[in-house]
Amino acid sequence: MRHEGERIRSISRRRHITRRFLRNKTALAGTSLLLVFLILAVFAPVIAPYSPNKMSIMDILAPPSWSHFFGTDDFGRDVFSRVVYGARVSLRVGFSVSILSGLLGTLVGLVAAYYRRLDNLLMRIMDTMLSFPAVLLAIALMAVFGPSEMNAIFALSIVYLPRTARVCRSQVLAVKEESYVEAARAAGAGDARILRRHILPNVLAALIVQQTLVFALAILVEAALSFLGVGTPPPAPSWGNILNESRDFLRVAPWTSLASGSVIVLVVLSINLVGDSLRDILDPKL
Amino acid sequence: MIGFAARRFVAMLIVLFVLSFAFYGLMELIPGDPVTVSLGTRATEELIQARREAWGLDKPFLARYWAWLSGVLTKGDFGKSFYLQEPVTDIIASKLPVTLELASMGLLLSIVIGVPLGIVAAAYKGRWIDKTAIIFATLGVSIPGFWMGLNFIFLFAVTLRWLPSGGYVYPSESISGWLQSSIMPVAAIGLINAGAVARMMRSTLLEVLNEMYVTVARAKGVQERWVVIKHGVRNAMLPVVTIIGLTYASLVGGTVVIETVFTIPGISRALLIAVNKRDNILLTGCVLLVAVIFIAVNFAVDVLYATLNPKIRYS
Repeated sequence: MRHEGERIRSISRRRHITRRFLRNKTALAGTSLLLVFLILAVFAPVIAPYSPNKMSIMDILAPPSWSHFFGTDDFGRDVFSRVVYGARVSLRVGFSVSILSGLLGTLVGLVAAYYRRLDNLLMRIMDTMLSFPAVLLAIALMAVFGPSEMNAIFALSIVYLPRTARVCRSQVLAVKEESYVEAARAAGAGDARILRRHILPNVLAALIVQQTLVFALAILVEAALSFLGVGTPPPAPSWGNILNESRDFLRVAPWTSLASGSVIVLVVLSINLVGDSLRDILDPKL
Repeated sequence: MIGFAARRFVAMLIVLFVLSFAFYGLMELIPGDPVTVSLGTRATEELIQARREAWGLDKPFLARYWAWLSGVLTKGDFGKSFYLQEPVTDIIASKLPVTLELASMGLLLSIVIGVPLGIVAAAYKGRWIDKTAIIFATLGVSIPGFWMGLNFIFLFAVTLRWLPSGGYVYPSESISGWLQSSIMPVAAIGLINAGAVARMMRSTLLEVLNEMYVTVARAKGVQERWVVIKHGVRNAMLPVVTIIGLTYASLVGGTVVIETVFTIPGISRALLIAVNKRDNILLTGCVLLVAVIFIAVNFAVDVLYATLNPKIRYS
């Protein structure tokens, strides 16, 4: 009976959140834009007119036209096709980093908040990592791991882990003192059950908002790493790589930089819009 | 307070030791060493052996790490970069000031733009001016700084030819040259960060304007302008300044990428050499010195905050 009541409450809360999300214009704009990029990424082979690495000596640095929407680069590669395939790299990195750093950060945050003996040690390590410039730490880690997309995911997950751990810890510390947690403990529930059933569901909202932010940041920093030549190695069509290559012929072919830069802005903007709306809907306190 | 500072200092030393060991050691695990990278195609077995001996790479890892660590602890010597063949402290001493200068000027610009924008947005909440400020701020956090830099180069250097497209002139050489070479990078850093500052200022001020004492001031008939300035902005500034101080580290990270766009000889060049040439002495030196600086800055911000705000007590 009690479980039935809990289930109905959780369904109605979910419906309430969905309704508020659908009524929020910013959220809808952000989600639609993000969906467009998701479709581009998933259906890249169908949407892109050319292979992203197909070179054509006849079409070197051609301006935008009907056959090449965003023109071509110095190898005669179609910039539109490269940008479409680039969505795969960026979204893959952004999504993986937000999931991986989310899982690890939540674990660290939970342990720190729940087992106070480890709190000081864990949070000192997190603080030190936080005090270090994110891009510098990412570059240093990439030096150790070597440039590849997978390593960029690992490096960025390490870089963004402390932020999630901090948010999780502070939320858990607040929730831990609530009377329903005390009641659960009095009823004989163990640590694992309290964490899973009572604490995690209540800190999830703040974590989702935080990880949306990490999603956007990871895309920006992956682009920066590739731009510096230490991220996804060329000739992979990552947006940072396209921007890096465009630097040498900015004077004669500015469209390459314009196209790849604009898509980074649009995709990051769409995620930020979704994140901002989620924050307003899920956790007005944040 | 002294106890708090001492504990933080000891924790910092431990973390720095772990960092140094991790970065010094991890580079060893990856295939390829600075000798083969530096010799390139000229590498022969004898040349490689001779250079490994000359650079001390023939000794076991722990012996090398110990020698390096004793140098750091006893003489403050962070070793000599394999690739550049210069002391790491000299390299960083010549490059880090340029990075910090750009980051500081960028931070200043972002405060000059972001703080008034955030105040106006909060004071006119929900009106068009607030909406415009929010759009500007959201765009600011979504645009990559290095792309903004590329666009500046295309507009002001390539098309209009007003400014140099890159390079850096030290202020000691020419003030006007320094200004010209700094305008675009500083503008790119400042504009991007102004969005974040404006968001912070707006949300903090809105929180303060909801406080009881603000309602009391309004009820007393104080003009709205004075309510915002005297009661609102004054009380919102402390948390905002603290947060801005703490975001300085991320600003420096952004500056490193901007340096590459404008070919500025800052810390990014040293770091990228360390990465590409597998120079673990240079990498560990850069990581440690930058870590020391930022941990110190954050510690100073913490202490300053505690001094300014008597509600905070450290245990």
